[in-house]
Amino acid sequence: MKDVAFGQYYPVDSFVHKLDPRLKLLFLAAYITSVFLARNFWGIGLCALVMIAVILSSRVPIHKVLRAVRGVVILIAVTSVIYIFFYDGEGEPLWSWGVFAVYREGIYFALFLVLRLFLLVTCSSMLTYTTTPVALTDGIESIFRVHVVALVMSIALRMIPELTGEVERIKNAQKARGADFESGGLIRRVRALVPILIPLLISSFRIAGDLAEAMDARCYMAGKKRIKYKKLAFGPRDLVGFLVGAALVTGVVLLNVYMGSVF
Amino acid sequence: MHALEFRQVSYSYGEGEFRIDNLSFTVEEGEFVAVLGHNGSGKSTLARLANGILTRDGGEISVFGTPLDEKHLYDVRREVGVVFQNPDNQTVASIVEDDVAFGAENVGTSREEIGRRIDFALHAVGMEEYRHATIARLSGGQKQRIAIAGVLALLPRIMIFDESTAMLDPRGRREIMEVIARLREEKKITVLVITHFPEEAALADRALVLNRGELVMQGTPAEIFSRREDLLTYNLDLPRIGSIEQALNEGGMSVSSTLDYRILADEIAKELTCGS
Repeated sequence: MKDVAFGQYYPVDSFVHKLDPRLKLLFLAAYITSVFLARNFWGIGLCALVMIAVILSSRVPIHKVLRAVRGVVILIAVTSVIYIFFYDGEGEPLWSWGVFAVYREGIYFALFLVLRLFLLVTCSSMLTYTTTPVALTDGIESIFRVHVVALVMSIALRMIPELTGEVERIKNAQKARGADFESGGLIRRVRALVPILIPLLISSFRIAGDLAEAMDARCYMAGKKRIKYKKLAFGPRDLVGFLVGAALVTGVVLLNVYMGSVF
Repeated sequence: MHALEFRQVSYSYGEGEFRIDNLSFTVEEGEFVAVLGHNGSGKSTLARLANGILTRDGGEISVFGTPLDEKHLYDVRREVGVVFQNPDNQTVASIVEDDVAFGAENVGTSREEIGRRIDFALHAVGMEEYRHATIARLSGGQKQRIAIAGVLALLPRIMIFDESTAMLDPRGRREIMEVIARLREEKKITVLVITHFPEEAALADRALVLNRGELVMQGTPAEIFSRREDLLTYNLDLPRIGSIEQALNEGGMSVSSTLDYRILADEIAKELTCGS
């Protein structure tokens, strides 16, 4: 089975894993805010330092973290190229050729953007690496006071590896019948997906039916209040997480004020 | 009082479709009963009728004396746990502990009690060390053991296994049959195994044979498997040991019909010493 990075929990026992999911969600919000607030390299550097600390204390291996970033590498590359070559700065360009001109500010901007995107993606994937889907949805449920939605989300996340496997099986079955998914233009390739999507739709209905039956058999009553086994409770550990988050936001704001802006 | 009783139960999937007609049988407390039948015999329907996932059209079903009706639906469901066929489509959570908690959370009274139910269920299937594991990474047999634990967390007195080994490899099958044997011996749970593997039915105290929604044979596995012609008409196989006996008898060595390898071995030895 292929490893799906999204929603995949990395099961180890660490400081970050044990944090309350609500705190982790708040921390993520604080972190994203800090990354956007930062106006100079000192600020973004502080964000990066905090992220390194988070990764190290989470015991998630570095290649796992990088795998999550892989998905946005092209986006990062394209936007940074645009920034470098098309940014109109003041003063002398460092290098120019026709309409292309590279300015110092352009390089700064590109670098800044790369760091921002990199940190944003890393931070969000750290959340899913260190928090089980159930804990995550429990956290969301507890913050936003919504029920059932959490169960739906947890089942959806739980089914991702299942459906990925199903796609692989269907694809192989269709290939065995001579289907071609690799050649032809865009339209032909999109049309080639139809024989995958229809069986996938049907088999997901079958899986849903099976699952509903199994849930019924285990006395699930929709709408009835259930006692939660895992009750969320803030502990001393969470205070540390909270302080780090608060210190990060304050630090970035102070650095903005005292160190000036690159822009 | 019977653990499970079907009295003249009928069920139909629709006009002209497959139906169960006038099905009556009982299962006693602590008994291990196998339900045999080939595809479309109604054996899976039986499991779904017994805990009210399907609602019968006529007749009576009762569990430890409690009638299965609208008022007692969840009381009965709590007593009759069903483990289904596909190990991948029965778990609702990604982590073992969270999934086993699901059923306990539905019926549990307090967090501490739910915790005890989880401990009990994981211990009963021998999966304690996998408590925090990701289900998707387990083997088929292990996934099915988690499915069993998920049902056990409801503390049922009857467990129905609806072809729960059909999608497993031989090792996974053995694992599940061992767990079932342990549940009977240690937890005194009444077991109904629905299967088309004669080897599994041979382990039971009693076997029922279904054909086209009708109960056609009933008795100890040894009795059932000695009626070879009948089994053939219902498209059922003999267990391996039965085929060996048949071959020996056809070859001129008369051995009695047994499902015990040791007895068969003794008889062969006796025949051989007498012959020489």
